[in-house]
Amino acid sequence: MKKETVALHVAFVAATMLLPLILTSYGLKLTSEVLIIAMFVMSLGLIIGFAGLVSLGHAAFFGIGAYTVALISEHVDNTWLLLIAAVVTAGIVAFLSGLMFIRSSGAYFLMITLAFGQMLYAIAYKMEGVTGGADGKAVSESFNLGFGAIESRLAFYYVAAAAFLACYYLLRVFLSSPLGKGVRGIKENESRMTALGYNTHLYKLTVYSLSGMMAGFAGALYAYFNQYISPDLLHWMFSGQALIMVIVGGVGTLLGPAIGAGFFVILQNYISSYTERWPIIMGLLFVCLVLYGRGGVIHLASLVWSHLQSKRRTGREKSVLPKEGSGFESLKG
Amino acid sequence: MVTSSLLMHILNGLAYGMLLFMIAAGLSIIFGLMNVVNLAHGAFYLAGVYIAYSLVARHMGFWPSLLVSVAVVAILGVLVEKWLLERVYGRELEQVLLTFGLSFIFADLVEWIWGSSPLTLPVPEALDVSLNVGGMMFPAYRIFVILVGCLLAVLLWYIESKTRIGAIIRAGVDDREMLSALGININVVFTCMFAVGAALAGLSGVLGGPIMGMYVGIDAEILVSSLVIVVVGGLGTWKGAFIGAIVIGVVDTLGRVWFPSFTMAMVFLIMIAVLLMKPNGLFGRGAAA
Amino acid sequence: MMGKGNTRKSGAWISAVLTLLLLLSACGSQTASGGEGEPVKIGAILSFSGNFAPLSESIKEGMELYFELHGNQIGNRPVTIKYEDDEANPQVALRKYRQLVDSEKVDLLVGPISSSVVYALRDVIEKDKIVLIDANAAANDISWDKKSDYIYRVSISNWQDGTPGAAYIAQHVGKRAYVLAPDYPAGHETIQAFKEAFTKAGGQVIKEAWPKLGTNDYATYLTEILETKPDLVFSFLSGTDAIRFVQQYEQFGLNGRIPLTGTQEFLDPLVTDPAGKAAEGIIGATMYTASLDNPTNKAFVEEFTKKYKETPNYFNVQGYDAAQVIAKAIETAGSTKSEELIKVLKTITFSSPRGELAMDPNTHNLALDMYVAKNVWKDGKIEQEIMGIAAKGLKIPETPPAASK
Repeated sequence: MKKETVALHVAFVAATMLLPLILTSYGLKLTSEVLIIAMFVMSLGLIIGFAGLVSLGHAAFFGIGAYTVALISEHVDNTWLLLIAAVVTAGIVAFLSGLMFIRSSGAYFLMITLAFGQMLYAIAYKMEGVTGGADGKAVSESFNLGFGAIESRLAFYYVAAAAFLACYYLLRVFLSSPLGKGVRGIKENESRMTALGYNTHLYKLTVYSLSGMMAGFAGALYAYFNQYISPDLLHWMFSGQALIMVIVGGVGTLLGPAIGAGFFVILQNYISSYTERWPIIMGLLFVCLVLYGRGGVIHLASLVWSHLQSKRRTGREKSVLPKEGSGFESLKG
Repeated sequence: MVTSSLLMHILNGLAYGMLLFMIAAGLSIIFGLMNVVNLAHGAFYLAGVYIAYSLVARHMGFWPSLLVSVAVVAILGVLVEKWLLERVYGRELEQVLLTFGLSFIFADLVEWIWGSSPLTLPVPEALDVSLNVGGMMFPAYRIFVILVGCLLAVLLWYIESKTRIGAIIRAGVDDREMLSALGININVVFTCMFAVGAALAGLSGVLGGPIMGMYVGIDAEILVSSLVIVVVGGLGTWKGAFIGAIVIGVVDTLGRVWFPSFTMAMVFLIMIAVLLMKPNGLFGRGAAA
Repeated sequence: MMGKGNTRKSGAWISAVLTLLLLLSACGSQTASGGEGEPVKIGAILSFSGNFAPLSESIKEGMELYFELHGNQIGNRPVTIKYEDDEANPQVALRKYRQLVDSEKVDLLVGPISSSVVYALRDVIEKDKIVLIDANAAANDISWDKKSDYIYRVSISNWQDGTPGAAYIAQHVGKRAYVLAPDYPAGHETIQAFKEAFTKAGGQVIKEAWPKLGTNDYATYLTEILETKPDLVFSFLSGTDAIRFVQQYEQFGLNGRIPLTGTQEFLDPLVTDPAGKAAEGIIGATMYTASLDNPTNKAFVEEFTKKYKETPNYFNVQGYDAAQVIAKAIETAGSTKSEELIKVLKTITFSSPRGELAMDPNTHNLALDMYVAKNVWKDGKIEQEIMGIAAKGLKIPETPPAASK
């Protein structure tokens, strides 16, 4: 790594840690929520941007994480155990469903994951005795890592921030490992990788399970965050929103989806406070983002950035975007 | 169960399935030919029924309103394709974002113009009777919807397999480059097909209005149901959409009678079952990945 | 990739993060409040997008009418209402709640439409000690196990919606009922209440049908009704579901052959206006119709029609009453402090377009007069004709009836 990059990362971590200094109490709470959702969206961004698996049922794993914490916390109060249980459950479900679904590709994969998510939604909705049904369920345990219950907003912010940073750097390490490189190779050219003797199915399954685990982890934190769970956490609308956040942020990058989550949640929250017509404004933003930003905030930002740079250098380089950034090959089977 | 009520249930399933077929046919062909998952397709359904509502309310009569409304939706389709979609061909995820944004805009515009209260489109007078089917009453209008659906299926089948246009489309679904190589103006083909798809969704909206009512939000419900049909039937074929629609319509209806606790998940169960057995849908082309 | 240390990209994401931060810090606009002459700030959490939009709009209309007629003031303090859209999703509602309570510093809350939202808000409300006037969510348990000192319902509970019509129906319409309601908690609670009262009155439920919420096509169930030939159908459905059911009921030739009865949703303009003539003849019990004969209602209907050019529905009344309960509670308590307010709210009485109403201190739920009404077709429009009184001062029981567990 270049010195410059190291400095950037230090700045990034420091900024996350110092953020509470400028935030109001409400801002702190909102940022914690954004960070948790960002982790979830990042996990979806991982399979979309690096493995070409576009899922419309990813909320299933987020919901599994949240429900695991909510249901088991009635019997067990150890936060570590609950978090591990959530990650493991989500991971197992992701592995098993991936085993069946990864055979399908493109739009078929999109729809079969949607169907799977909706089945879990129906189960959570119908099994009133266990899950609380459509009305949801309160989570009464508080977050406690062994040194006292974390009740204050500031403390929970740091939990969310630390979890987010840990997930982010974990994914970076994963992507530069041989396994991660294999996965990216498959996305670029699957038949070549198959010819080279890679078991592409296994690679995809691994990354899908990893992504499911991370979504489950985010869901578990969310159950603690809101102290309430409801089937909406599993619904395809939430999966769809996450997909939109990934695209809004920028596909094919790690941090793009996280930024997309921030933009989506904060902007929607903001706009919908001011006008009932918020869907039109959000819709227009999406359309403009596609027409002028190649579909991603991060791409748009890099366009603006390089525009400023090139002005400074009076150069006239026009094409800025790395090709890989704009998506995946085909939704078709 | 008595035979006559079984017959009724099947007719119910067919009527519902045919409405979904009309919207799924357009969706499927847009997908197959242009490789676009059009999330704004439900918006065309919405536009169709709401425009027809306004015209009927101005005493235009059901049938003229139907024609005008379908024509307007087709024009809307042309505009969307020419102005927006054309710029993002080949970039699937951006299409998802674009059409998702459009569906937001359309739905909210409809709510703005027509209000959030649900409205209804009256059944055309000539069809507002109940027929006696095996001793039970069945609405004539639903029989009419089934007939229109079947007629449309025959028409689409004829166009697809017997005409030059059909040949072009089939070639396009299999290999788009070949079309340009043959000197066919692919842009015009795309625009026309998109307009036809939109018009079919609009038609489905107008015909569905008297049965399903109209409100903002039905667009998303209809879109998901028709996506399920498209995927079950296989992308890019009218035949797939037709069979898929019948399967989903009938099984969903009978499922409510026989397995009442599974109504929420019924269609999704069918879809998972089909895709596990045939990863490309019942009639999907292309090799399994 | 990031790892390559591409400054261009790093710069890009840094600028994106910075923009986000700017947005975030803008979210925290804080204003102090509380003193004399300072505005009373009301936060309304309703569902403006999705299927509940018409209900939310109606409640908003009712509230705004009340405050407009009272100079937009409570005492001598001006009133501001901040509306938030919870999308009928508890998770969104919690976010909006925090915004209203932490950032906007509202004095009290009005809301929500959905029962899942009121359950989700319940615990934070207890913790933050902020008053919520429930203007619609009908979950029974908010009056029972989940009762809170800070939550008061000015609408109706599912139990009160399902119970009152039953006796009349058993006596005058028929004994063998086919019941139909959506497969979700409100549906179960309402039908449970109906069933109990109906059986007690000598009726019998011969079949229960539970279509999923948001069913497009009720044909299956209508065919079943044709097949089972009950004396009557009793149904609880709302919004688009109710409209579709009523219309399809007619299309299948059932209207006029098997009487359709139902909860007050079927006797409200929100459903009967779009359903049109198909809604003719439906019988049920309701807490409000525009034709109620009392002075408050006469004035209300007149002002409402003047402002909105339409007949008020009962959601309008719920909004109107939520507003007047807030105003009266603040005036009586002389403060917007929660602890002062709840002393007043527990036994508050007020003149509603529904009649003179009183809060039941044991359930934090109103005692309601319920009327038997019938949809009649008059001058090209459905109207509700009152046929008698179904129950006077009907309260929800203080504990869940034994049979429902």
